[in-house]
Amino acid sequence: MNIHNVSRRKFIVTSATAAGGMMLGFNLPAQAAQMNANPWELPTDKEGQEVNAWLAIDPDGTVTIRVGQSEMGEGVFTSMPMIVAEELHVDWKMVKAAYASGNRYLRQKAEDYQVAAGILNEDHQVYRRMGTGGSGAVRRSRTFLQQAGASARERLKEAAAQAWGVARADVTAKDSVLSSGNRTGTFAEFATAASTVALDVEPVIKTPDQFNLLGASVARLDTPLKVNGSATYGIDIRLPGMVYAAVRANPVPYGGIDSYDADAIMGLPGVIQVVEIVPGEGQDLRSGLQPAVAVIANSYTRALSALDQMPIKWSATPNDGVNSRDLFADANAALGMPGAISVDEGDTAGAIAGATTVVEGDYQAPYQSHACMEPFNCTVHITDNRADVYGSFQNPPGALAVVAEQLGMDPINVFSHTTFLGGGFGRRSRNDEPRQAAEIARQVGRPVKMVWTREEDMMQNKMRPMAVARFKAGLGPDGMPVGWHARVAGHSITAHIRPERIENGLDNSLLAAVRNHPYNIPNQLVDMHVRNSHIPVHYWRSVNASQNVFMAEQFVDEMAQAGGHDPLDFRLKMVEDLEDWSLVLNTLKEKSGWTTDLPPGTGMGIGISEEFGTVVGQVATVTVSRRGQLTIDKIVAAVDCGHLVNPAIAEGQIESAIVYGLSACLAGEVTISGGQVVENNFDTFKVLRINEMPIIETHWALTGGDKWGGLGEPGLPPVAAAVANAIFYATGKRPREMPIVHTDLSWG
Amino acid sequence: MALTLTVNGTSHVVDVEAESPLLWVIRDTIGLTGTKFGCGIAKCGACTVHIDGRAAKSCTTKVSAAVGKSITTIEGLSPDSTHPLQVAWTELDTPQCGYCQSGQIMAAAALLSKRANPSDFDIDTEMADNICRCGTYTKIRAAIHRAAEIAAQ
Amino acid sequence: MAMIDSTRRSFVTRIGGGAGAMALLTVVPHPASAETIDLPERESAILEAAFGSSVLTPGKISLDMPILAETGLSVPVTFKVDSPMTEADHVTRIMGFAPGNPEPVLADYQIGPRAGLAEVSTRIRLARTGFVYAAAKLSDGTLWGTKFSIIVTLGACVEDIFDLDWQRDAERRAMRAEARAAAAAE
Repeated sequence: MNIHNVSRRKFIVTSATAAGGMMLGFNLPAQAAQMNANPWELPTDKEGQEVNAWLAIDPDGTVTIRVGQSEMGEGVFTSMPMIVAEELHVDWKMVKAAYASGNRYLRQKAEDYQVAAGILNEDHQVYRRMGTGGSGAVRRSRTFLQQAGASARERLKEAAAQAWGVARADVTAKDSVLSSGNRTGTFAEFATAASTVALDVEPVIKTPDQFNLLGASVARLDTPLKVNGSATYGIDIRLPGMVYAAVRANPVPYGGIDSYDADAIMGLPGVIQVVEIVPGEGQDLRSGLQPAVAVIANSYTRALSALDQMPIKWSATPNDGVNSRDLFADANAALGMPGAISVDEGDTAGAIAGATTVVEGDYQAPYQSHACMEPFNCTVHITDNRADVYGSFQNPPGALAVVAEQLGMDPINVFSHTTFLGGGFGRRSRNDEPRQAAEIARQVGRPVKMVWTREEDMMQNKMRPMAVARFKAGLGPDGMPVGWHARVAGHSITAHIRPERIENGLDNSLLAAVRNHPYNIPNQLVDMHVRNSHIPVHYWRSVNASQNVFMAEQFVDEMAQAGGHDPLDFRLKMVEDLEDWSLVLNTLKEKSGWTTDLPPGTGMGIGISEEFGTVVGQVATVTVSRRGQLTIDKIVAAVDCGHLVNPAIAEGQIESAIVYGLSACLAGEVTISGGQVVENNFDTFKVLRINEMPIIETHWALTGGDKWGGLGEPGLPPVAAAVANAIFYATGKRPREMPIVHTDLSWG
Repeated sequence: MALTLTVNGTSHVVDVEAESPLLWVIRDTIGLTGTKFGCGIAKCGACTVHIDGRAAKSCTTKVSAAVGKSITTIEGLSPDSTHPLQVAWTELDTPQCGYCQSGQIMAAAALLSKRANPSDFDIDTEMADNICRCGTYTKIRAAIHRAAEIAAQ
Repeated sequence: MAMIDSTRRSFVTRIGGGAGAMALLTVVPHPASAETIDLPERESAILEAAFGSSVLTPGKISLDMPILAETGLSVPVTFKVDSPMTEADHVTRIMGFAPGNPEPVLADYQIGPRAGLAEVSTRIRLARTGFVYAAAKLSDGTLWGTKFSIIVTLGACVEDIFDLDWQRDAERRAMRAEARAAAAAE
């Protein structure tokens, strides 16, 4: 499927986006020829001449740009190549994307690799930073991707200069064409020579005022593959001789297996084998390997059907009685005790004691599931001295590492092949599934595709943690805060992933937005308690801010209300010394038609936060019927991420984060009963659907300069607070608990 | 047991259990992986195909129930991505992760075949079975309207 | 002045028949290469205190560990010294360091000829991608060392993801503390 036909492209301009950007689209009648549906493979059937590790040029001029991040919807298959192409001066229509190789990342150092006094970090590997998370694709990769493009451009120019006997400065590169005087040549002609050029000085990369391509809403390169079913996701992998595994673990996470009766199902059609997964010596929870049984069959249906019929007795565990009510009671009890102190500025207790008005508020948020549309899966193929692992990985070298470790192989001989990801949201950086699939494949001895049911996916998910918080503030005679005390108790991801980072019970990451809010309050005390359960936890889009902003930003509204201030002006006053926060708030004020004076049953509310370098504020407009039926009418967002690579994709990320956040805000939750996850499929785990979709407007409020903030996550945290605050103005009721469905909103 | 299925106009003889979900027969036996597994209980729409022109959740459709009927998957919607919905979807860059989009497009195609110019209410009603965790609903709605326009031209 | 030099970039990979096919590449030293053992300051001081010198001669000691770990929580490592372990010629002490760790000393073994084998296996915790060092002192007073580079992938979200936000928080707090102090001074 690597047909290549340039002449069939038609360049068209399509609709303007809500944010005002123009969409430049490529209408491709034969889109499958544009990109390889298998993103880990080359996009064309040409081998290509590599100019550096990031790009290769085909004889026909196609430029393959390698992407170190994983395409899970956030658009890196377009935005990352754009950054390279900006400097390369390539004809964008000739650009295709492919994944960088995780194995090569392991084998090869970066070109400018130098070790100074024993300091070495991930930046020394050829693809610098492979893995996707922390809203870091652009903000952490931009400079070295620009450098890669600029370096390749200058090498191409130098190769042409030498061939033509002119100075490099007299050669220009534009749209894949090199020219000097009346001589011209294509990138493809000079690619081989360029690959051997050494520059004595690497070129200086462009500043934003010099950008041509960056800042344009060019069409996504992966779209054509995603409108005809051809894009390959992990679950779509098919290998010769492959068998299928259906797998099940104790519904109480990390619980053991008492017994199972393989003989009862061995005669069923297609059943090949039953495999038991037994964690090895020292394989603790962090390894991701837990006791499980897998049925291997010649089709997934047969494997799953046999698994359903196989008698399995799970071991009793100490967690069989754990339930959400008790977990919340325990965490709430902790709120009554002093915790590990994160910040202690001034005399908070004294300030509150001497305040004109004291405001208090308690909030809580449950465990939350990622519920990626693509259920967890992984395919592993082991041969004599090599293993290949295919899947939807957010951290491909990590997938490679766990497979190597599980198989006892040298990582050099393990190859990870990243597919398109059917959602990631942080969950797909945990790498429990490649380890489990590797263990199954090791026992089966042929290529195995392991697929989890939706129920397995949700019951064995690694959750966004639960948390509770208590706020207490004192207001002065002017109604402005003089003291802020926040205390959080919740489940710590850090305790699970990087326990060495917790000192004296303090996990600052649990305090996102509770501690590192920007409000200028003279006395501040923030303390916390870690309250873990057996439920495994992991990063979830925007992590702890996803619940903390719901809590903290509602409390800010409570303060404003108690102090007799407009909530938007109240915030503005507390950030008046911060250019970006002020700009975002003023933009919101202007664009949303901000008012707290709406008829009963309708309300506007605000929420704002800063994460990964990006400030996002949102105003929600809601309608609540007298009986308490809630409708989200509109969300207006104002965003300062400094600069934009692709406004259309960026706008999509803000919308996406809002929808993901609304699901968790309104009705989506994970409760625990009998030690097990209750909401195990989309019948009980409620997510936002198209009929509940509000109007979303995104406005850019860019401060530019050195700021390059992330975009995948920062759009999420404010929405729940904005909605909750709007509900208050509509009904006089304050939803203190996520999801909001638990609060009776009836009024009048 | 050997069953004969007509998928995208091609006849396939498949040796599967009669109660097998149509979804997995399409994906694993016939090898058309554009139709996705999402929930297995007809609650997310990722597996939507057409059976005799009507949208159906293939994850809960027994393969035996599809024998003798005309099944269309995303791969069969058009030979070259030129169905008005595919053109509109491409114009608007609708997909993000893209996993749900086969189901979205197939559900939308069934809607357009019933109502050539659907209202927002029609879209809400017919598309509410299809979940998109990336939240591309605004673009899905716009793309359906745009496809109706394209089809009318 | 640029020049064409086909030998310069010896580590450049050229793509062959497919994405996985490779030729001409430099493999991460595996195991440790005989580079100069250039210890960072903090680790030099620790060695100085332990051995009276921080000058390590490359050789004698080897580190056996994976070149890649998903997380650094529990990485298997074997320190092995080429020594007959006799009364006359044996290892007296082996130390391991990871400069990327908050507490750099990973292992410190005082051994003698009774150990029989100059080899110790353990599991270590590594905070991040970087070098691991090993040093051995022999009974003749000589100091030997090696280093090994390991990639710790950590998991995509884990790599100091909030550092930017915490940095801004610290800057804002400092700015306001200064403003308050100035206001108080007036």
